[in-house]
Amino acid sequence: MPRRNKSIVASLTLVFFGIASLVASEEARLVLPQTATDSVELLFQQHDTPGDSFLQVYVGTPEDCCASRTPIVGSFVRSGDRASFRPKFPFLEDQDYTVVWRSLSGVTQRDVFQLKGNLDINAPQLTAIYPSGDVLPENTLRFYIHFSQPMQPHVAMDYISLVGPTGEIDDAALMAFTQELWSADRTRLTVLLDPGRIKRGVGQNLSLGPALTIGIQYSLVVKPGWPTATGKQQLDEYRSAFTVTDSLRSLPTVDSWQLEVPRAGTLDPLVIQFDRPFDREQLEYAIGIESASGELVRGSVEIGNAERLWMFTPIDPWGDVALSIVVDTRLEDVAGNNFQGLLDHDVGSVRTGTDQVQLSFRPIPVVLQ
Amino acid sequence: MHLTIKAATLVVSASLLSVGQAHAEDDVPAIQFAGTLEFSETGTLFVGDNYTGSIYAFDLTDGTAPDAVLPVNVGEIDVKLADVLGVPPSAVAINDMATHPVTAEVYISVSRISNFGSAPALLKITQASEIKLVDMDGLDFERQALVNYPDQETTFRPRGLMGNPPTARELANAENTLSSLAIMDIEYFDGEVFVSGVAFDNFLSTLRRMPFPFDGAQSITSVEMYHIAHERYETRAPIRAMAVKEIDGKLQLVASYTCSPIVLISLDEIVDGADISARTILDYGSGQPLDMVSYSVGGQEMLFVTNNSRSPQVIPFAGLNGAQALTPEDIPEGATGDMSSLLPIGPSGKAVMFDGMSLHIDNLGDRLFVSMTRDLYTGRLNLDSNANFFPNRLHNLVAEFDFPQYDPETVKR
Repeated sequence: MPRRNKSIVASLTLVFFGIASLVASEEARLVLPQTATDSVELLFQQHDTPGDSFLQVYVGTPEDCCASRTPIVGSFVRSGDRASFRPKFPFLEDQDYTVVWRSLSGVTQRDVFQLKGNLDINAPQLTAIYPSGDVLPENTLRFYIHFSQPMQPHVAMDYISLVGPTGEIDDAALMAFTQELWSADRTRLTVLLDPGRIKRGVGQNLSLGPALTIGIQYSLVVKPGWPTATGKQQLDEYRSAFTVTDSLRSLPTVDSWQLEVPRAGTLDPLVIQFDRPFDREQLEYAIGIESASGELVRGSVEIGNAERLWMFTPIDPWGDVALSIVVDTRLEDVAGNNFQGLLDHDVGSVRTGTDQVQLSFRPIPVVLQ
Repeated sequence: MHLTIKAATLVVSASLLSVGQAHAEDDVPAIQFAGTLEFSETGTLFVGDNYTGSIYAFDLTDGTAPDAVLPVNVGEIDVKLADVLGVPPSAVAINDMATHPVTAEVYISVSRISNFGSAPALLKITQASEIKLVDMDGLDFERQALVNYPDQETTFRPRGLMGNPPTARELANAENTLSSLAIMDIEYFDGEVFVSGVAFDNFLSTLRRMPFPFDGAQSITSVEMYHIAHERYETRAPIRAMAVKEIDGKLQLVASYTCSPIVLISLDEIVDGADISARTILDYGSGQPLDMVSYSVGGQEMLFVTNNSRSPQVIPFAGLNGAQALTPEDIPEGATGDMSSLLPIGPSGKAVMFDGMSLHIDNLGDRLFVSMTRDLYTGRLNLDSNANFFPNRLHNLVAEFDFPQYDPETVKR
């Protein structure tokens, strides 16, 4: 249902419609709220507003109203040609309210209104799946699934599956957690491929083998029908296909990154090309630009080329000074390997201990003509 | 006063104010949950806020006493509270009720549940049985934050009955947070506030004690008691309802627990950091206590203890003097559940008639109880006032006296 026009005339008296010339003073307009905290307003033509109980708002429809019912608590204001009621607590969305009001001659009117909730006007969309590449390593660890609105929890594994090339579903490929891994606003779900099948020589890896086979195309499929958090709308089917390539079993290192260094005095982006795809969410915060004194350079980050490219655009033009790219060594590639160690490492092998690795660059000085 | 918290999706803020903060007059209370209620004898209203983990004290001491306390009666109180708050009855959780000792107005704390959150609200029923919203923002107040307060995430353990998996309703019960039991009852006595509930981290069942007016000082103690009907010492389940009385010549807290022992704790034991061993003096065998009201009838000091699954119990205070503290050695054969021939054990008082289930009850003047009562036949929730020596209505009964042939003059033998 579309939102009502702001200055809707919800009701006029029958007298006004029928024999208006006789009772011009009957003219009054009721203005209904458009938001939860709006007032209900009565506009009169005369600067002479009526007495008590000119306007009351009740919960429910006119059929439920108003014998032995109590009106909603709120404040009344009468001034000039205007009388208004503001509820103490905001109106609920999707709840019927009945306004009982009196015109100047004492004719009682009843009008119903409802504020439509903003959620679930549109069907939900699956907006992204990361890693976004169409070629993924055999030991890919996790997927992030993004939705356009909050989704119903505790049913993810009823809808998400890993489907092989002939349509067969691998029931044991994805980790089924009691507590699903949602973002706080429940629009991003983290799904893990069972690490027990990725790590070589452990139980699931030995009994079932890796979930992904090199050279084969798989699809991450979300079945249709997944309800939104309110249950009013459902997701359409979504399929994301990818082909499996060699596993990633080497430590990431900044030595294999390629930089496109910006020019000093410009807002050119600093571009880093990676040798491998990294974790999409961690890329948002795990890399920063610092000055020699340790001050963070402010700017915005873009991620592209299937998580193989990181691009930083500063807010202020680059200075003609040496800067450091500071990388949190917990940043993982898509296979869960970070700068301290491999996900699939030998028992007892020692991880390296530094918190950060750095890569220096200096914006290119611009030679004035 | 007893507190019930319905499972609901609620907006919880992580903001914490400093302990015992003083407030300028133009401040408004940042109360997020209006739960357990308790009045001082002059009309300061203490309100437990389970979300921010604090006790608010609102100044309502300027009221005047009516010439005579009238009974207040409001049928379908839940529907009428919801009407005032602009929501359907299902969107109002009634948390507690307490009578102003001076004005005889009945205060009710609720949560108004909206599309994406909840708001606390305080309403009162006047002596004319009218419903009024109390504007908490317009009241002078003090606030005392509670130390060792539980987080808002930890929930209960789902438990099925006798080895069966938990039912859907049992699972829903287990989704309540421990913090919903963090402020179970507040008792004001002689310039001090006592708070029972659960706390973190070193203990769960806890008694807190703080002076009023609040000065930031508070003591916190853990409470252990021997639960006869469970045949074990318990340290987790909190005190549900309590009262302070002089027993055996000293001031003692009379405290009731679920399933359903009553214990005594001397006030001088409640010192910061103490591990209190409460003395169990009686046990009913099962049921969850709701409220404990001190009153006087026929010149005798009494306790009226309501329970969600037993008849109300009237306990004369005189019977608590000299009561034996019971330990496992006193009941070597054990006594579990209602069917045990040993239960109720101790000076348990008398089970009395109460038509319907009282969810909240308090004194209304010296001679009346006011109760929020669920009618057994209609399921409606009504606010009724009845004489405290017989706190009942007769409309659900048909007895000898109701027959047209009944003649009081001729039937006596």
